Amino acid sequence: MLVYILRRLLIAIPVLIGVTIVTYGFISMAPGDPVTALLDPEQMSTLGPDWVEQQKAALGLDKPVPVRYVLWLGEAARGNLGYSAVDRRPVAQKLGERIGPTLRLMIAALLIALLVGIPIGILSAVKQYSWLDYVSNLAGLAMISIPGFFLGLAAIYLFALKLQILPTAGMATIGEPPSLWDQFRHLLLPAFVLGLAEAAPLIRYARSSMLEVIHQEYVRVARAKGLSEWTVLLVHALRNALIPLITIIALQLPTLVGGAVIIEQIFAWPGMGTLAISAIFGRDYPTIMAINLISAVMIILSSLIADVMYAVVDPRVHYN
Amino acid sequence: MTKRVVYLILLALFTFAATQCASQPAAPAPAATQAPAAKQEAPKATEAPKPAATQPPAATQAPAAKATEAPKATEAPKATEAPKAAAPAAGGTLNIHWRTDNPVSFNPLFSTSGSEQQVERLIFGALLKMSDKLEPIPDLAEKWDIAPDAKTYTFTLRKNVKFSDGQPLTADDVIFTFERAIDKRVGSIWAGRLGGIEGAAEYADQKADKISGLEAPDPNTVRVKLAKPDAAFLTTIGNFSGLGILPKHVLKDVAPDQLKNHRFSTQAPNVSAGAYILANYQPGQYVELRRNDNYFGAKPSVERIFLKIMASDTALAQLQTGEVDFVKVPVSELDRVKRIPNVTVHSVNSPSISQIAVYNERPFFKDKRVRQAIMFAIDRKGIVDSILGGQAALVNSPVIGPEWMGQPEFEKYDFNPAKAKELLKAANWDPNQKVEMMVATGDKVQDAYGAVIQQQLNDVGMKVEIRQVDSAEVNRRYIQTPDYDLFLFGGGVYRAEPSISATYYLSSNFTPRGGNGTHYSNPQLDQLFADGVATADRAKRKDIYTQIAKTVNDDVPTTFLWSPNSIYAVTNRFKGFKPPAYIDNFVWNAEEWGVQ
Repeated sequence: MLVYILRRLLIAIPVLIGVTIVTYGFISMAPGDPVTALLDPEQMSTLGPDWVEQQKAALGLDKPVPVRYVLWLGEAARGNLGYSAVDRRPVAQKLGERIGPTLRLMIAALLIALLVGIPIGILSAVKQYSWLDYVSNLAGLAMISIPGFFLGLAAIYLFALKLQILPTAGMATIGEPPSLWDQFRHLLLPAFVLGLAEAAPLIRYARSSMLEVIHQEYVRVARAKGLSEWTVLLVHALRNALIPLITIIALQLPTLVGGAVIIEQIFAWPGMGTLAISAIFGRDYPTIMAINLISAVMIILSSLIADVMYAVVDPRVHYN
Repeated sequence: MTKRVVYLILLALFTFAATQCASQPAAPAPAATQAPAAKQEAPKATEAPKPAATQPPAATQAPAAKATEAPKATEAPKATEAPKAAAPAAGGTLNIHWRTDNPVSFNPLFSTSGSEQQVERLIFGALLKMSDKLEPIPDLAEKWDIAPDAKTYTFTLRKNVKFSDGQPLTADDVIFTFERAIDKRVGSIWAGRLGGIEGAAEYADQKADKISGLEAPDPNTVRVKLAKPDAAFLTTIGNFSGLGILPKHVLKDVAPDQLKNHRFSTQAPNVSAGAYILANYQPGQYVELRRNDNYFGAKPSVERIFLKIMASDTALAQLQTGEVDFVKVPVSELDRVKRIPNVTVHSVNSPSISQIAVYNERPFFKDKRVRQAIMFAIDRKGIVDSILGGQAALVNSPVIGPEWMGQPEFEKYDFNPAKAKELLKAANWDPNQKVEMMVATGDKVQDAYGAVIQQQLNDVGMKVEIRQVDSAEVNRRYIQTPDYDLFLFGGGVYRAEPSISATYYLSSNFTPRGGNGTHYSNPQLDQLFADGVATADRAKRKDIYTQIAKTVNDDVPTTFLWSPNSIYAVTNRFKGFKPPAYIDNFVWNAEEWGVQ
């Protein structure tokens, strides 16, 4: 198993280099650069072309793209992600500030998705064609169909403006000593808005994979042994029903780091999503590259985790 | 079973490790990825070009026109008095919606956006600052003396001014700041603004070890000698939020080319001489300012100011719940905001002009009758009333202030499609000529009136197509390699000084070398602008700039639309807010603010 994991990690290196070449190429092709992207025409014309050229040279933008890429790769390989082209703070520091809030929001949302999605999915499989099944189907459809920004704004309107029981935005009340309760209240709205959207597909998958399993022969055998219905469902059926779900959940792991751009914007959540957006608009090449790199690493790791988890839940799976 | 537990623990450890690694700052100094850029969100004026008058450019503008709730213009503080806090120090916290994203720099030498300059205005002391009417008012300099030839400016510093760390602020710090601003290795946007100082060019290129036009006869006096007379010099150094004075004792050992990357510039300007100090910066969340105990002036009554970073929709929700006390209101949200209880809406005329740049190099725009036809074809009043909610004043020339200049009136270009058609016909306009109107993305209101303008130009026989582009593309096609037909945009600080328009209309200022983006050229106008800066007498200057306004009004090198209002919403617990002429200067009297 360890050998398998090591081999997978080694294969990941050329994949990562490929990813960085492609992203570096794409962002270099986009019009503009960090200097001109953030100036308006008035400023551009009054600062003059010499100033602009000087600023670009200071950023190393006077070199050809391949040279810039190789320089970047060399530094990145040594663990130096460089300085932001916009506010000149170390990129690693910028990411560091953002990754905590993003993980907090995403883990909360993932927990909500799991706790809502899987039980409802299983229940509607067990009670197929009951009113509960129909209601959960309908709710799932609604949760997929309603865009996050709408649900977010509606939630702010209802809970913060009308009922006034939750704060509108942010991660904590600014200017007050930090408290867990305060942070929890701030987390609730964005985590639920995100979590419900992620729960919707889980309901569907949990339902269908459970349906597949409960009609299999070994489940009938378990019942014939005289086991209670709950033992049959939760111990015998559920374990096999979970296998396809692992892929679905593992595919959601990269969003843990990538962040939910729109939800973070609406709730003024200082996470990776908002950072990514401003980096792209500002043509902040080093920051964009670092975010892409981390996302690529996350995707590779989560698919590895998914494969390993298969072996954990399914003894028939072996890696050699 | 045990295997499962092990994997779960591994997963947990991985998550933890990922969080921890990421929070550690990396080692500095990469080759390919250093340094700066400049972030912009506000319209701006640059140095007003050089009038040779002896009087400082005076009072700028009266908020007025169509502002529905425009409060009366406030009295400017007397010239030699420090702004006094109205209320006794009472403590309290203000929350202000500041930006939608992180600032680029806290160092006055590097920031280019109005919102960054707001913070600098609060935390740094400057020789002088701008009042609500864009008039110079004393700050670190308690008075100044302008030699009759408008070439020598002598600033007398307040005595016993201290930085927030208790160290004295002297003429040395002022000179240090000017030197760093001018030094080319620093890369400050102020280098060009201060280029008129004698010896600046030599110092910028390190050909001199001091600036010959800059001296400190004693620790409380700074004397600036200009190479050429420039009566607008005070406006230049006070513009935006004034050139904040940096602490020499903190920054003198930082290499000039590293100043931009230094912590002082990027996140922690921790020694300053303004009314507030920057206590805490949480990227993506807020900047916390605290009252500076070593401030030379009266103690402000507000103890802490939080400048919040969030999207404007979110800020409007927070205004409603009272979580923020100040928000800039987009005109599309005005009606909704007016209905919020306990909130006062202020609307004042801004110094900027919305316009359509017409690329005069295009053969089909050479005939001025075509450009006049565009003016007549657009129902500007209708657009202002319906789309802008009446929150703008029509403009027909670039000379719209200051007070002594007034707004000279010539052809008013009232909506007249028949006349527009006539003019186009007389100019042999080819009805098959396609015209592209470039519009920067991201402004809903501008998109709305852009579509109306397109329709109305089509109605008189000009085939206009709208092309949405992002700001990088705008800069390429409007400035770097001019190539456009029409360009819909807004900005500028026209109201501050009539000579500012020279930037946009002098034929020696063609882009990319200068600010004349339309490539309009009129030798007669060039001569008038030259006369304007060489004239000291205000009455004569008024005559000259009236003449300039008349010429531009007739030639319409760009299509003048209107001067939009700046609209702000302020909660009623926020006391002492006085709307300025220029939105980015709203902190101008922050020392007098209070909370209930």
